[in-house]
Amino acid sequence: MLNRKEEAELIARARKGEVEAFMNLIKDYQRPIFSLIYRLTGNREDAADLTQETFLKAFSGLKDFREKSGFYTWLHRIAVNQTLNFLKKSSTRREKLEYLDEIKQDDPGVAAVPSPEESSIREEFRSRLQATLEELPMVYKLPFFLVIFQGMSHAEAAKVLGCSEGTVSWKIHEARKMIREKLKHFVPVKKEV
Amino acid sequence: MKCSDFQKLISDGLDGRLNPRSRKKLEEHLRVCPVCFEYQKDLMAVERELRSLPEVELPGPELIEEKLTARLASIKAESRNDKEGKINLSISALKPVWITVSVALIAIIIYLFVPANRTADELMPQFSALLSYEDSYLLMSQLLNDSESLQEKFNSEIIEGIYREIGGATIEDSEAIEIYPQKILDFEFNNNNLTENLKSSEEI
Repeated sequence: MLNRKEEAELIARARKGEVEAFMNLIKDYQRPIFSLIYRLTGNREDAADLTQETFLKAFSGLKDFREKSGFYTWLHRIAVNQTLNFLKKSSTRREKLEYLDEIKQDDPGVAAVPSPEESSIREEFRSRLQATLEELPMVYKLPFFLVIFQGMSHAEAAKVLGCSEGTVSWKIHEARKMIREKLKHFVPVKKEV
Repeated sequence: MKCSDFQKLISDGLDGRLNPRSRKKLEEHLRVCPVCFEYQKDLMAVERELRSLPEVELPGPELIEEKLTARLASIKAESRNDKEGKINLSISALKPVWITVSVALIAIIIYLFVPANRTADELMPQFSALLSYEDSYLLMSQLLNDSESLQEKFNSEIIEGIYREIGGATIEDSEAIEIYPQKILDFEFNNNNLTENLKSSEEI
């Protein structure tokens, strides 16, 4: 990973239009950005295209990057906007299901459906969990994914999403409640007092 | 505090956001509330599973890195062409202006620095076309002051013109009239002696 000084130098060079500097700058961010977009779209090709678009946008918008938030956070913000716009354009339920159908059994990542042989309790729990994550409404999914999978703090996720830290905390709390509710057949739930 | 409040604290605790005071309160509640205790246990199981999910594999470099590099290079080339195009366009757009300005400057320089071989008759209309009335007037005054012959010619032209106006008389016809044009000329062309000339005119 780049340290702050190295990152600042690369940003300065990339601002002047140096493609090589920009490619070095985003080298470590390709995986997290692609992962996030893939988890949100469920399609590898779309995720690859959107990742490219995210970096292109970052390159052309680098002159406007004020460095108030970190470069990592700023990239995530672009990625989230790109993905949400994309999902908005192609948001029919049928299209979404088609994406899920495209995912092969051996495809790494989300929403893999286990074969009957693999249906041990843990495997089933995992597959249900992945399906539950897919079904989470976007408003809960985004903050939850940013914190759980991207390793961001609530404050960083709030910057990406342009909301307050408190909102992020509540959305994550709600997301956890929903996940637990969906998995109640696998995780026994007792009545509250 | 209700169980739902403690469940929010459990969620915050999983993300490492609890202060010592809230943590203590939660721990006390969990000792006495089996529902919240189970809730925490379930969330921790989900959390463990989430964190152990396999990482998403990156597609091959040809899908992101290589395509991206190629697109960035083409964007850079396009912007360079755009800049060069803009410069060329601005130069070609200014061409007529440059030509006009250059011609005008050359003309002014020629008229300003090569006046010696020209007569007052030739100079006056051309200067008045190029310069403002005041400029041409001052320039003419200077030329007349510098050259006695020009001044004499200019004076005699004016005097003859006046005689012609009067009715065909010549300069030799009257000695008295000779004073009049001289005074008028002084008044017209010597601004430093304006008061004196005014006085002379009044006398006349």
